Amino acid sequence: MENINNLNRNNQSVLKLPKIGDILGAPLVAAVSANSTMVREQTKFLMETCFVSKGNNLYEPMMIEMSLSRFIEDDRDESGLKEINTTFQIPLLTLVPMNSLVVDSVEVDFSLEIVSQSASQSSVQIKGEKDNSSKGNIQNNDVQFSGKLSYDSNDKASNRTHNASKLNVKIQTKSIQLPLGVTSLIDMYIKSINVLPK
Amino acid sequence: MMNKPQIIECPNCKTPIYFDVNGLMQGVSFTCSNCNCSISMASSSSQVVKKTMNKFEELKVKSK
Repeated sequence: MENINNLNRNNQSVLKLPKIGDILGAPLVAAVSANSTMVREQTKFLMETCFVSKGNNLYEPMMIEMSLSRFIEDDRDESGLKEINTTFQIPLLTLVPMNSLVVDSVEVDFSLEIVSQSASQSSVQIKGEKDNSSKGNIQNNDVQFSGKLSYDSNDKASNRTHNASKLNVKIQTKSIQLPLGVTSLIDMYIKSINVLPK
Repeated sequence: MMNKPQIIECPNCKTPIYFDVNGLMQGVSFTCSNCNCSISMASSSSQVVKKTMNKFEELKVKSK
């Protein structure tokens, strides 16, 4: 009886072991989630600081006052030049030096000790176009491995304990251009900057 | 997020003027290489830009 209980306990512990897909998927899901958080934060920043809400999902760009000074020829002045100062406004969005940072690559490195293996078989029936004579079956054999993270026997790291397991995840990020919508918006704003005398 | 080179079109002749927002906040003028006109930020706007840039720096630290 005790042996049967032990066997059940062992089976349950094997069922709880992560599948290879889960071990690979977890860091990838975390990377995608981090990416999504970065994009959300950036959008939130843009909407909260560079735009003013006017209600009904209507946003107006926050404008910054700039001044422009230039010299024009003036015969009445001794130097022959006269300084003209004018003001113009530009959207705050065009001043913020932002671009996007995205997850470029994710490297997952681990050793796995396979502790269980299960196979399942399924078949898909194919029907012939005109009659049933050309019926066929495609056999699918799915093999699933479960295991626990293990140490690499080639790893000669001195500070490793014998059964230490490890999962190394290396994430590289790179900066990319802003989304086309934002760059178009900035471009449109920049092109519409005109100096108007006050 | 990282800084990218910032350009504004000269309002007078449309030539690109390279500028640095930190310089603008400190009152630096940036001159157009074509028509020699210079642009600077009005002092009334510097507080708003400073506040935004501080938030932007916080966001950059958060995303590291």
